Amino acid sequence: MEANFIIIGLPASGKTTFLAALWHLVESGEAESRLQLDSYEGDLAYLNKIAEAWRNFQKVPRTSQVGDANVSIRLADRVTGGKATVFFPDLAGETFDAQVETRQCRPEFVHGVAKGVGILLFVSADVTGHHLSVVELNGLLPKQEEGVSTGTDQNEQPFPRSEWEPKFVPAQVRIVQLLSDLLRPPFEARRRNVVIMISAWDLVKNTGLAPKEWLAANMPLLYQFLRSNCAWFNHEIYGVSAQGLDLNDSSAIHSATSTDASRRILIVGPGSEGHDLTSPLAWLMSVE
Amino acid sequence: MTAAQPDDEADVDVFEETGASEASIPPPRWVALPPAGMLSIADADSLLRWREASLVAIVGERNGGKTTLATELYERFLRGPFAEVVFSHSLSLLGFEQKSFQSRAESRGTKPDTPRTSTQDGLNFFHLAVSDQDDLQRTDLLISERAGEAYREVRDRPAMAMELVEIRKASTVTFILDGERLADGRRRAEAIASVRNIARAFTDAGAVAPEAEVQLVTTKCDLLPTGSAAAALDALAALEQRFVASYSGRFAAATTFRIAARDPEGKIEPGEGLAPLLRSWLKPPMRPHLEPPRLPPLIDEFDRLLLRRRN
Repeated sequence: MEANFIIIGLPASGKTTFLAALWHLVESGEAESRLQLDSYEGDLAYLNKIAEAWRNFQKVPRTSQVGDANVSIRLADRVTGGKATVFFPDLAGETFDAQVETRQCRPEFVHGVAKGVGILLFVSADVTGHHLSVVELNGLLPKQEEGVSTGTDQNEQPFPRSEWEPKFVPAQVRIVQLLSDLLRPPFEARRRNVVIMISAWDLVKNTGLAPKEWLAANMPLLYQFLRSNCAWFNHEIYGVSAQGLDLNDSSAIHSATSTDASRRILIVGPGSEGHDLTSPLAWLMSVE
Repeated sequence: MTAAQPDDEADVDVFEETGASEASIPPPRWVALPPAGMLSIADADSLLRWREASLVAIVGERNGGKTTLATELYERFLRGPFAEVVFSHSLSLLGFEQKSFQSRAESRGTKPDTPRTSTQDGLNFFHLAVSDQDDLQRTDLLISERAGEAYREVRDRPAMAMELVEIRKASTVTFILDGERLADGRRRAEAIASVRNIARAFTDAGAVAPEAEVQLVTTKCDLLPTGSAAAALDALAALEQRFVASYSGRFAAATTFRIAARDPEGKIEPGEGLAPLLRSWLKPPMRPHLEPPRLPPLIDEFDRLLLRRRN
């Protein structure tokens, strides 16, 4: 049976960088990967453009900047011989923001997550679910000494309050809303296989947390949602650093040039760590 | 009133940053998704056709902390599991977000606030589904949200009590006593009279189902004085005692809780007292008690044949 995957996520969550690194990995064959390139469809200009930026240690252009590119890569499992297609729809992260904020989505997305499609959902380690309450913020500010007048009433609001707008919804709530939407029409309510890809993993690697632990600590609402809805979302959690280094760190770039580009990739899964970006896809194929 | 515009101009999305080069690109097609704000009565009905949910009616006059109670529950789950349960689902995520916003630093407020619920909004609901943290058994809650003026109206005109549908359907009716007014000696007696009158109006009218639990929940307990100036606490203890004595036996349970959902001074942990209150709401949805139908004597041969087949 042939498997299909779809890559989705909020803006700047690392989807395009992942695709650039994945394309390089399977196209170059310079590092061992569980899945290998089988064939491809459509125009390669987009894939080559993002992979070029990735290889040259440049910031990979975002989907919203390079535009229309419904990309499909066919992969084959070296072990089982199974075939799979990775579908990267022409849906910039802003489309998923709009889904939460304006409560409408693109029909391609509805079709893209049809039966038998595994989902790669990207969240960035750079954007956590934490938001401060007014009380928490006040607790962090230096205490005003008693009897010292600042010339303003403590109860006075020195500047106008912001009115609520959907753009203020925190990232973890947005992702829970995206997943919740999959349970109701126009989506077909059924069990789905989902990999949560925590991108920019190099930023949090030193915390010593496993990806699952990081998610529980930094996006607790999403973690609780996944845990309590395992009947709907059969999921696994990975940390990925497709870029592999800080693009502003010239010494890190200099060191990286002495090895194969594929070695820059870091992917941390349940009980494993390596360079094989296809391992989450192999997991999705194994649970089809 | 603006002048009519040609169709192509009327469809321009003012929020979309479009360049001149995109002018010829046909607008993308979109598929509408269900709203994710507060649930209307129709939305709540729709939810109940999908799955069982326990209805919690939060009842009290304005500024008592009804909305804050619900939003601070949600805020707990944004930070992790709470009250031995984990967040499972909400059809009103954006409703929670909207009502919570003025308590967040992003609102630029110097003090936490909750937007007032307008009488024009009528009856709405928060939906919150949680699962037991061990066995993941899920419970859905519909938490009512109605302006306090409607309950004041019932206090003044008890004959209207049956018109408030959330009370009749509720598994739990939570009467709110405003701790801020209780703490103020000049307003204390009136605060107590308010909750007493409203509870009496609904219970005497038969609006509260006998299978329901009635609760007296004192909010803003961070404002209650302690020590020698504890007249408010004495008055509260006496009221709680009378509440339980009056309603035990008439309803499935009569309970009291004291909470400080959100201390603006930050001296008390957020969500103080909310965990036992939430636990009390997590019970199987109420089913109205129905007498089993009385069957006439079954004496003819067809009836006997039917009975034999059943046996």
